[in-house]
Amino acid sequence: MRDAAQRTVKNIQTSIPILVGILMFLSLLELIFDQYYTKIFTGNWLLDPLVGTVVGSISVGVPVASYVIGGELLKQGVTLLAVTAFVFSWTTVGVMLMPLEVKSLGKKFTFVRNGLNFTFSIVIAMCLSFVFKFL
Amino acid sequence: MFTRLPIRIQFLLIMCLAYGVAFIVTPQKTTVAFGSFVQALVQMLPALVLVFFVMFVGYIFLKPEMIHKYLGEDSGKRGWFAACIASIFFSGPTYILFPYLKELKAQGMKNSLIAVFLNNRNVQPAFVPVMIYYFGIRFALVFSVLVLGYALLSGLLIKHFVGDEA
Repeated sequence: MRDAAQRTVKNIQTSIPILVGILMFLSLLELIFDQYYTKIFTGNWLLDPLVGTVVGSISVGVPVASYVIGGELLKQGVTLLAVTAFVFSWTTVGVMLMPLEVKSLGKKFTFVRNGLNFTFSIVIAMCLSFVFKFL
Repeated sequence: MFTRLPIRIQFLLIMCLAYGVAFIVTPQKTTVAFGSFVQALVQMLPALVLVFFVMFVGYIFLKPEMIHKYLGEDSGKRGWFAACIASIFFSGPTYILFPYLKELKAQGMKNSLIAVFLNNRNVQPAFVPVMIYYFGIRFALVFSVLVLGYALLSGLLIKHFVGDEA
């Protein structure tokens, strides 16, 4: 029991400064890019999944938050292609979380995983749009 | 002196400095941003407490032999299934998972299964109603299938490019 408590405390000491730093960064990002999501998605079907992936990659939070933002963007006329890429990359690509991921799971794993997810975020958005044409 | 500090502390100090600079440039907006930061931190605390509690319980009951059995080198197809199921039922943000995954990796969890677990987190029963509300059933179904399919593919790709060593 004591060993379990010590290991948990050690994990808390390692994680908390990074988590607090990430939240500080995100709130600053919001300050700089006030309502930037709607301004970045232009409606271009070639650029939208790329932009959606980039924006989703630098965002962080629980998946449900991406559904809410994505749903609102759809209502404002942003393409499904862009929103799908945004929602997918929100959860799977974590640019802001890389320091924590590198520390926890290693540099190679982190870069390969995020690189693959970034690429496939665009591919999956295109696949979904393609499937929707026939459904 | 700064470079001797752990990376996590350096990162935190840089963010504090950025806040200081932002406050000098635009004090009113920075105060609003700080309020947003505090709110996010407070909202995150219950999830963090839960995760660290689960971690504590895990340290007590989860033995390295079990990790090796279900998610380790010899876990086989059962390990892939276990990683998919585990990710479906964890609904918290990713960043609170990393320290726990680090520990599981140290106990023998394979890289491919960590990738499956991390990349399958869009398919969660708790979120489905919200997804359907915003995007419809058709989207929820197709998207979930694609996410699950890619999560498994990513496990294979990670195994190929990174390897499965613990």
